[in-house]
Amino acid sequence: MMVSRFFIRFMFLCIILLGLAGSLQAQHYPDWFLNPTLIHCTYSISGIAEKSYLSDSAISYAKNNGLLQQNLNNGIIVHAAASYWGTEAGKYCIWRTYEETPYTTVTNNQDFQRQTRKIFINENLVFVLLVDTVCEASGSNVQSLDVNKVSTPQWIESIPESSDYWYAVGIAPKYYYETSSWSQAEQEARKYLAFSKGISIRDVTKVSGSGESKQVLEVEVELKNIEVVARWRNIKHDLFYCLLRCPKQ
Amino acid sequence: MRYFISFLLITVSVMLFGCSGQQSLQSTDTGNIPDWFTNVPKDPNFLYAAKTATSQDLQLAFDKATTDARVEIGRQVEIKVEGLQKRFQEETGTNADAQLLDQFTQANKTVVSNTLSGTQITKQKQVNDGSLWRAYVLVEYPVGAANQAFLQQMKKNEQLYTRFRATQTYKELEDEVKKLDDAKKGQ
Repeated sequence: MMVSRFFIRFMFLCIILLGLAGSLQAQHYPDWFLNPTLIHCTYSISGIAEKSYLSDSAISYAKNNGLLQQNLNNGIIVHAAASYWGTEAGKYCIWRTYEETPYTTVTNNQDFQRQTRKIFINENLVFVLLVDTVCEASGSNVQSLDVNKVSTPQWIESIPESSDYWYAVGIAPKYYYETSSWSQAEQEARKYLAFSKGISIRDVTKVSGSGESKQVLEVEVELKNIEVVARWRNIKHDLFYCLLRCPKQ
Repeated sequence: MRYFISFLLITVSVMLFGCSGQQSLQSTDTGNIPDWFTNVPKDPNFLYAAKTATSQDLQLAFDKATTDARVEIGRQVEIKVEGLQKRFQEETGTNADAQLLDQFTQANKTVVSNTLSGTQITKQKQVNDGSLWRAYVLVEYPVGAANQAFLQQMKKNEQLYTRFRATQTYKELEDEVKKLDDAKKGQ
């Protein structure tokens, strides 16, 4: 009886410790992924992929994902439209569409001249940094940051302003695949860049009786040379953030 | 048996605690209303609109709030252009000239629907509101850009533009556009 009591207590302790370890798990990201501007190269691309049993496959997949994202950032035409219905009870989205059309295909001459400079593997993902062949990216040691220990960046609430660039922040929730979350955060930021560049909004508001409004917005703009300025993950609320910029001219 | 049941209950609850990677919205903290929302900045060179919206989806909450803010900015531009129209009528005495007034109104309408290029979110904040996300946004729009677009629209109509150039309103408008250009060069 005595042995079984000790055994039960021991089991309780183990399970509690395991549970705590699971919930407080560190989330490490390479600094060049969270702050791509640290890489002083003409061309630098960060690609990510889910960790796989075959690490070579994951690395190739990460490279490919990076090139796909870069392809979108090089130049896209954004078509977006949405309609909202505002009532006294709240505002409802009636419908919305969003479409991105890239300018070129992934394999162009520029991409052939890129080389893999750094590879980093964290708890869930494989990260690959591709740079141009002439670039001498500083240092070979990977600096990793634990997002649990990094304070919230200022740009999350106070978006940078410049006379030369549009800046936009995209946010995405946690999905089963973390790569989907990062990719959506980037897409949301591109959407807001497009909205900044040009948006047409029609609004009809009824003020007599119960207040009601209908808003229709349409966007059709070209965005070129988009750059990822920073990324961040909010562990507490499981949100993924991406700060992008694109030249105003 | 009693030990076994207690063990099972505690194990299940600990496992649930350990596996809960995503915190529920209800258990997270509620933030304060940002200062810039209650005290919207005032700057003669910018139009500002601070709006808030809720949704279960955070990004949709931001979409709703920014759309509202842009609508508000569109209204502010409309009021500004209507003011210009009134002054133009007073200065030139074109009240009786229906054709010219119609041309002016057309230019005004085009500006309101086309010039919302340059609106930018400068501040944003998200907080939990019960089981929903509440997004606060502050959107700004440079006044000079609106004036510039308005002048460009006016230039498309030679007759209207010739009349408008002779007014004091035009001179003031051009000064504001010049200020914007100078500010851009200075940056």
